Parts: sequence; C-alpha cells; structure tokens
Amino acid sequence: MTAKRYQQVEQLYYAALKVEPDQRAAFLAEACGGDEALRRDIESLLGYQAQSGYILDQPALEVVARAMTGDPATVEIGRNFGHYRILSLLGKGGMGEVYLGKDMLLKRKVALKLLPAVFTTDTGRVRRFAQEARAASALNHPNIITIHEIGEASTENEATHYIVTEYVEGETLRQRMATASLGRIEASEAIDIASQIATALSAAHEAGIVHRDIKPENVMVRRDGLVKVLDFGLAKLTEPAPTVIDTQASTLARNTNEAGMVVGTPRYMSPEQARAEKVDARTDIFSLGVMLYEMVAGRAPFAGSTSNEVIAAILRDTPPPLAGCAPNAPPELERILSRALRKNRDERYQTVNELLLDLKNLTEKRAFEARLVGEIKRRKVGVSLILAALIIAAVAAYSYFNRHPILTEKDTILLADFENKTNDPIFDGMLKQGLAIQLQQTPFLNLFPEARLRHELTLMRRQPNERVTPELAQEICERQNLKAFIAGSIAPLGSNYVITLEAMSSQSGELLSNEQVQAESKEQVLVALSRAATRLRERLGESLSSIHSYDRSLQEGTTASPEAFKAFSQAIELAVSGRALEAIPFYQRAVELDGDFAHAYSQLAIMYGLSGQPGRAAEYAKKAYDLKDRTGELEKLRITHYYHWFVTGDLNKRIETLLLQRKTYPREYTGPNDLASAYNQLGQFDQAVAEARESIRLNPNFSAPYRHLAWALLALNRFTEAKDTLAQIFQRELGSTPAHTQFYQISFMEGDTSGMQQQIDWSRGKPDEYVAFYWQAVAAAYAGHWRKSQDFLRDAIDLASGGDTKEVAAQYATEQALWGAVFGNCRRAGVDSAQGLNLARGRASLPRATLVRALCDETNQAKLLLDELINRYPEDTLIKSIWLPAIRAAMELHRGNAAQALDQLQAASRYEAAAEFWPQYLRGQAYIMLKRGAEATTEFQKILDHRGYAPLSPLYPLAHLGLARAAALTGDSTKSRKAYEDFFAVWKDADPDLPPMIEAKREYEKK
Amino acid sequence: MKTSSQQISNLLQRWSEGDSEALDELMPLVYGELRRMARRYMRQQPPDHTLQTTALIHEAYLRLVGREEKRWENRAHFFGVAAQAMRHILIDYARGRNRGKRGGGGQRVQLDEAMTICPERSAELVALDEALTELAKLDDRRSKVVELRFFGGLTEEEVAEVLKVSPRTVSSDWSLARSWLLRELSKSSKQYDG
Repeated sequence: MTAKRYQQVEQLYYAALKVEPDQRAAFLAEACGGDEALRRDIESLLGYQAQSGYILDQPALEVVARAMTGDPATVEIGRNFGHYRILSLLGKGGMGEVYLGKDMLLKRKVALKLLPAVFTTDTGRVRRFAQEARAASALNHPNIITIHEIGEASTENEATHYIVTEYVEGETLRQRMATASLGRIEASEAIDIASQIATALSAAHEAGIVHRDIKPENVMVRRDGLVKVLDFGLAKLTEPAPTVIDTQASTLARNTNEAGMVVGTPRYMSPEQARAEKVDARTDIFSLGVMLYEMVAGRAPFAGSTSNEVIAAILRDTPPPLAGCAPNAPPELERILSRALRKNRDERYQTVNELLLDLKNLTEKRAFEARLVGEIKRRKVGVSLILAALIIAAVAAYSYFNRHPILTEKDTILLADFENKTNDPIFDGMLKQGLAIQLQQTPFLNLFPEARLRHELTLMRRQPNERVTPELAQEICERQNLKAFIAGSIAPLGSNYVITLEAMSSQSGELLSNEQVQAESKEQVLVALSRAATRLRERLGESLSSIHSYDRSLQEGTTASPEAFKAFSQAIELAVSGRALEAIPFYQRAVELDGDFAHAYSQLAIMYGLSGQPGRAAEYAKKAYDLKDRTGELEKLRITHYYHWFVTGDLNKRIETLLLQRKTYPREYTGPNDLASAYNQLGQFDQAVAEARESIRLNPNFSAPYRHLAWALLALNRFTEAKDTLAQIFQRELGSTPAHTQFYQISFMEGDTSGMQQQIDWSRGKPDEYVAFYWQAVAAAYAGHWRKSQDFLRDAIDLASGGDTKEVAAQYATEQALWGAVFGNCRRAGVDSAQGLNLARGRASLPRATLVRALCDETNQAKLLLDELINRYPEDTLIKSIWLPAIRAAMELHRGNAAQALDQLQAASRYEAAAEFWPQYLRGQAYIMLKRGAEATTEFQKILDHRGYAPLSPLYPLAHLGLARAAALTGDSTKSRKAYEDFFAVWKDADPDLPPMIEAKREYEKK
Repeated sequence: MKTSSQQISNLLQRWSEGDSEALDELMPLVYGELRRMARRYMRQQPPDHTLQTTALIHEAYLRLVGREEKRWENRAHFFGVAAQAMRHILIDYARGRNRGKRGGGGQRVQLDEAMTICPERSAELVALDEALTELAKLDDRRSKVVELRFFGGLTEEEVAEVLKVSPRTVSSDWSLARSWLLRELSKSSKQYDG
C-alpha cells in the first residue's frame, strides 16, 4: 500500500466511522467515487473495527501469560460453571469461546461453550436454540456432537448461558485445512469428511432440523478421522428478523446484529441466506458444498475481502473450476459441487442424501481405480509392464466410455433382477418391471425380452424363474452376445430407500455407469426409479432430445401406488409365462388400488382380448384410452392400438397405429406381432407372414408371432410350414392356449388323432380347459356328428360360463346355434343363440346370433339384432365388411332375392379371405338359387381350395355338397357325383337324421 | 520478589544503548513474572475476576518497568524502550527461541512443559509482530501506539503522554491500527471466523 493510498484509507475510515453503521455502505459507495478497491479496503477495515475479542484487546503480557496457562482469554481457568470446571481454552469464534472443562460429578472431560451475552438476551431465541440443539443431540448420531447440558450460570451482574458437550479430541476443520499442504485436503479425505457431515445433516434434516451455519469452525475432525458436526440450533440465536429489503447495504446490516458485531462469516452462506430469505434444508447442502470445494481447492469458491464482496460472489459468481485449483481432483467432484452450489435451490441436490449418494459412488469408483493401480504394482516386474499398459488402456477406455455414448441404438441390454435389500417383499419384481417400462419408452434402448431371458435360463439348465443375479446376467449376455446389462438394488436408508442402478459391460464386467437415487418413502420409490432411469439413459449415451421426447415418469405413466405396481408386476410375470387368465386377477387388483393405472387397464384389455372376451377387453381398452395421455409414448401407441382393436374394431386404424409404432420403435417386437395379427384378421396373409417373421427375429422367445405366422401359412395352404412353425413354439416351451388350439386344428386336418389327443391332455386342469371341449365340439360338427358336438359344447359352455369367461361361453353358444342353423335345426339354433345372448351380448355373440336369425328366416328378430349391431359397432371393420353383408345376404336369400344377396355380398369381397367362408358359401347358395351353376361352382371351389382359411369350419364339408349341386346345374354329373362322394367321405359317420345328410343322400340317389 | 525495578531499569538502559546481552538478562525476569501471572490466573475464582485481572497486569508491569521511573531523563524514551523490550522478549518467547538458547546471567530459562504457549497463539503473536513492522513503514506513529499499548501495557493516557498527542488521537490511532493489523492477521492465518 502506498503512502498516498494509506492516507486516503485513513481519511475515509474515520469519516465512515462518524456515519451511522447502516449508512456506511452507501456513504462509502459515494465517497470512494467508483474506486472499488478503496471501498472494499475501508469496508473490510470497518468490519474489524466492529469486532472484539481479538488478540490486541488485552496487553501482550496478559496474552502470553494466559497462553501459558492454556489461554483463557476472558474466562478464568478454574472457574466453575455449575458442576463444570474450566480447564483451558479450546477455541474461540463469533458465537463465543469454547473451553475444555471437567464434569466434576461424572469425572469426565467436556467441552464448554459460553455464549456471548449479546445473543442470549432474547429468552425466546434461547429457548428455540436449546430446543433444536437438544433435538439434534437426541438423534444420537455418531457425526453429531452430543450435548450434555444447556445451562445458565448466574452471577450478581450477569447470566452466562453455556452449552456442555462431549469433548472431542481433534481439530476443527478450519485447523485441519490450515495444516494441509497448500491448504488442500487430499480428495479422498475431503470426500470422506464431507460424507460424514452429510450423514449428520441427513439425520438432522430428517428430524426437521436445519443447521443453517455449516462452516469449518463447526466441524471437528477427530484423530481417528471421525467427524462431528457442532452447534446445531445455534443459528437460531442469531437469525435475523426476516426483512424484504434487498440491497447490499441492508444485507450488510442484517449480517451485523444490534451490537454492530458481525455474526459468523458469510462465506458459507447459501444465496437464500444471503438474501435473508426463509431457508430450508437445502441451505445446508450449499454450505457443505462450499466447504467441500474449499477443502479440495484450498480456496473458498466465493471469495472477497469484505462480507459484501463475499455475499455478492455467492449471489452472482460461478466458482472457478476445481481443476484450476486442484488439478488432481476427480472430475466427478466438479459435477457434484456444481449441483451442490446451484444458486437456485430448486436446481440443487434436493436432499442431502442425494449428495451423500453421489459422494459414496465417487468414493467407490476411486477405490476401484486404486485397486487397479494396486494390481499393477503388485505384479512382478517382467509381466508388470505389459499388464500395466493393459490396465492403463482399460482405465483409459473406462474414462473414454464415461465421456462418450456407451451404448448405441444397435445394442441390446439385459435387465438383471433387482436385489431387494429391504425386508419389504413389495419390491420383489416390482422394480425390474418398473425399470423395464421406463426404459422401454425410449427407442434408444432395446431390452432383451423377459421371455427370451426365461427361455435362456432353461437352456442353461436353470429354473426359468431363477433370480437373475449380476453374475448370471453377465453369463446370459455372453451367450447372447449382448453388450451390457443393468443390475439394480433397493436398500433401506433410515426410513428412506436407496435405489441403485448399475450398467455393466458384459465383456469386461466393468461398471459403465451407475445411478443412485433416494426415495423418501415407499410411495416415492417409483418416482425415484424414473429419475434414476432417465439419468442412466443420459449416461448411456441417449441424446437429450430423445430423452426429452420419451420421458414420462413411472408415477405419471403407471401408478404412484407401490401396492398397485406390485400387483401389476406379479401379473406381468404370469402373462409373460403365457398364463393370461391367471394374470387377470392381479391386473384387476392393480386397478382397484389405483383407478388411473393406464398400463394395467391396457394389459387387462389384451388379456381379455386374448382369452376370447372382446367385451371385457373393450371395457378396459376404453379406460386405458381415456388415460392414455398420462403414459409414455410406446404405451400410448399400444393403448391406441387396443382401442381400435377392442373398442372401435377399426382394423385400418389399428394397422395405421401399429405402423407408426413400428416406425418409432423399429426394434420393438410387439409392434410387428400385432401387425401380423391385424393382417391375419383382414385376410392379408402375405403381410402377416412378413410381420410375424420380423417379430420373431426381434424376439424369438415371444410365442404370439409364431401363432400368427402359422395362421397365415395355414391360410396360404402351406400346411407343413405352418406345422413346423407351431412346433417351434413347443420346442421353446412357449405354449399357450391359442397355440394348442392351432396345433389341434392342424392335427385334425391331418387326421393325426394322437396329436389331437396330446392337446386335449395338455388342457386338463388348466383354467381354460373348456377350450378342449370346444375343439372337440368343432371337430365333431365338421364331421356331421351334431349330437356329439352338442354334448361337447354343453360341457364347454358350462365350464366357461362359470367364471369370468361368460363371453367365451356366449360365443360357444351362438356358434353352436350357427351350426344348428346351417344344419337345418333352427329350433335348436334359436334356443342356443338366445342362451348365448343371455350369457353375454356383445361382439362375440351378437353377430353370430344375428346371422342365426337371418339364416333361420326370423326376419323381424334379425332386423332388430342387425340394428343393434350397426349401432354398437359402427366402425368395426369385420362387422361392417363381413358380418353385415353376410347377414343381409342371408335375409335376402330367404326372401328369394338372390340377386340382392349377391349385391350385399359385394361389400364382403374385400376381406372374404378372413370371413371363414361365409361370403363364398352364401354367394354359392345365391348362384344355385339363380341356377347359375358355373358361378356357384367357382364360389364353392374357393372354399375347397382354401381349407386353411378356416380349417374346422363345418362350411367346408358343406362346400362339397354345394359344389355337387353347382356341378349338377352345369350338367357335369361326374364332377357332381365326385363332390357328393367327397361330402359323404367327410360325413361318413354323421348323424343320419341331419337335414343336409338326408337331402344329400336323396339328391345323390336321384343321379 | 527479589527483582527490583532498579535492576530492570538498568537492563533496559543498557539495551537501549546497544547492549544486546541486557535483553537476555531481562528475559528471565519477564518470564518469572509471566509464570507468576499465569499461576494466579489459574487460581483465580469468580466473581471479581475483571478487577483482579486488571490489577494483576498493572502490578506485573509495575514490577517490570515501573511507572515512576525517575532516573530516566526522558520518560517517553523509557516507556518506548520498555515496550520494545517487551515486544522482543515476548515475540522471542512466542517463536520458541527461549528454550535453553539464552541463559542470560548464567541462569538457564526453564519453563514447565505446562507453561509453554499454545501454538496458535504463538503464530498469532509472531504474525502480529510482522504486521506491526509493516505498519511502521506506512505509519510510524500508529505502530508506536500499538507497541506502547499492547506490548508496553500502557493506558491510552500514558501513550498520549509518551507520544505527546491527545488521548483522543491515541484512541482513533488505535482504532485504525487495530483494524489494519487484525485484517493483516486474518490474511496471514487464513482465518475468517468473524
């Protein structure tokens, strides 16, 4: 400082002292005329002017003499406070002096803090302080100092408040930093100290106690490394009264108390504290961040020579990069600090536990790296160079992967089972499902399908439901050449939960990325899981725009209720193993617990749909559709698909949705599978084959596309391929009811009675064993064994109508009625169709019942049902394009209007491959009525040429009869006789009194 | 109490005339006084500690340098020398140079282990001494005020008398010098615990 400058300082210093303290800042701002350095200089001097208790305030002789005794600066050694005797001075701060004392009763050393009287005049404040300090101590936390007593020693003139705590032998963090080389504490130690402080704060925050004055002077570090946080609650004594003015001058004023003494340093204040706003637990997170920065960098992140400067820096400046001050500091620490030191507390770590977890992860990572280095050192010299080079390369690759996308869109990853370290079984299975849903919403990640995983386990001669540990996951990844797997765990942390996700490289077993999040309660677990999943996606290399597009949290998209989610995940496990009917009650439970659980509704829709209950399916598809905007993108597409499948029945919209789904999620296997199913329903078998094959390629262990493929191949008359395709399902142990149904059909076509019997045997004891009775009923009807068929169907209907499968029973009953109508037993058909409609009046029963009425010439009833059908299913492609034309044609035929019947059937021609022979059959009948034999021949021949369209339809044998009649009309008696004989061959053991049989025999005998 | 103020006065006289050994002889006397003070601090009981402390210090200084020194022609000079001597001795002590290094008068200085000065305080004293030297370069008078008041143990009035200025000037000099020194101390020790 130059002499001239010193003079300026001198002059202004005295001038400022004459100004009232709260005016000084303004005065100096003006008097210094923009000379900021000068202003700061004087402000800092004035700051010291206001303080007392320093070395210069006693004569040197006294200072030294006291230093020789242990330095009791103001309180005399030997003085008693209650039953405590003061032994020596330990330290001194803004909040009073701390002495080593002896508890004369308990004969133990204690630390005794005397509070300056200026802070203890307000009894209310003292009470609040004592309350909070005691509460923190009562937490009995190893990192929080234990308070023995808070007392008051009165003399004639004054009352001194004192706090007696356990005596911690060690140094304050301030002292620890001062003795560190360059003022920098080694990163591992700094992280350890910060972690211990965070642990203490976590316990305190949980108890609702915010420290508010976290700084190095309030942290003791014992020689063994144990850290103790001091002075909880003390900030209550100095808390400024809330004010709204927010200028620098007022900020300064607030930082000084009534006596004009600066209380505490602003260096560790959070921005909200500096603005004198109401603070919460997040203020401690900031302060801890400042300390951690200072420990590692050897300098404070927010510096200034005056309080005002420091405060301005806190409010305004971004701390200099850690790398600049501490080149060896781990880069992750930079990220952790930047999150802890966010000015806006909403952007900061929201709980100290989050910070703690990041610190712990960092510690673990560093330990891992240290082990690697140790490994290098341990090896013998010869090998060591090569090995060292390899390990260094591995470490380099590790860092490389940490900076660059770890996965690309071509990679498939496996989810291991979560390790549930809590005692709560609710988390079993739930988190894996949750994570799967969360990760599936992004097209970036492709998950190894659960069903494939289970199958792989059986190939490995393990139980398919075995828990997939990280070790097992790694083995599966190696077998399947998958790049990575994600292992997770949930563990309790006090009343909280910690969820860990670790992405591991399957080749090296290295940790690619890990995420730890914390949930404050069971209810928050899914939310936390979503958060972790999103962060993991980012770390694994997904672009931010993609994350932004596909980021629906589990809580929003599924449910906030852990119980509901648990039920849901149990259901999925059943559904994955092909047990749809058993899964339904669990899904039901899930929606009972959370009425807004869109995923569960959509799953219910598909489960009911697959088990032959389109009405129930529609009910749930509608509910899911109403909630679809809450879900992730993939689920939204699925729900839309189910909506068009089960509610509107609009197959074209369904296909449109599925094409969009396939485009957005090209590696997702359910899209092409559903497309195959939709194309089959439309009779577009070639497309179905392509889509089914794509789905199988994407997930060879998903059974549905095999069935759709087999169905399409069958329809294309490629029977052998169809059978081989079905065989693959059983080889992969993916069998389900629809697969067995198809296998029964093919066995029946081939006359393979043992194959048929195998399927029947399989069904025994299954919840849907009624299907086997239905198969046998259909087979019997095909062969003209009408009575036998009725017996089987009665059993099937009885079994199916008992439980939650009335729609199935209704379909059986109306189908039986339909055959009755075709076989000329309209009385019986009427009874059966009425029974069917009584069981369930919907998509499964209504079209059939209506056709029965039309076929049986009950025109008025048919018209009523027809109107109902039109009103209820105005957009249903199959009803509009197949059922309505067939019903109308049948009605016209009964009126003798064969030409009109043919007109009506025009509408059905587009999808007639999917119409189970009805348009062709009715058209044939119409041509016969019109005596147009050639056209009739063509129609019946279409049926006979495409057995695979509906292999068990009783219309197939009747097509022989139709052909016989058509051929007779054209005068081709040879062909006609042949056709009659074909018919008799199929119906060789048929009930002799069935009208078609009687008529056929009569006609044949006439020839 | 064998040490006479006459003896101390003589030693100070010799030291002010350039005899460095005089300071070595003075040291044990000061240490003896320090020990006595320290012991009394330890025995001291409330409630009259403030009064006793003041009396104790005063007594110690009286014994060491005396207030009524007649032999010195220049009273101001005497107090100045005494304060300087105290500064040297105390800072030396704080620097830990006392032990066995000098045993002026053949008397080896031995302090009880318990009587050693705590390291933080030592560092603080040494830093203060250095800061005071710096201050003297900018502002000799204010550094003298500090030396007389802090090391010499004089009251503001005594300082005013020695320096021939008004007590008010001493008071305001003290204020600025004190703030300046404290700030320097905080810089050197990195301590900012308001």
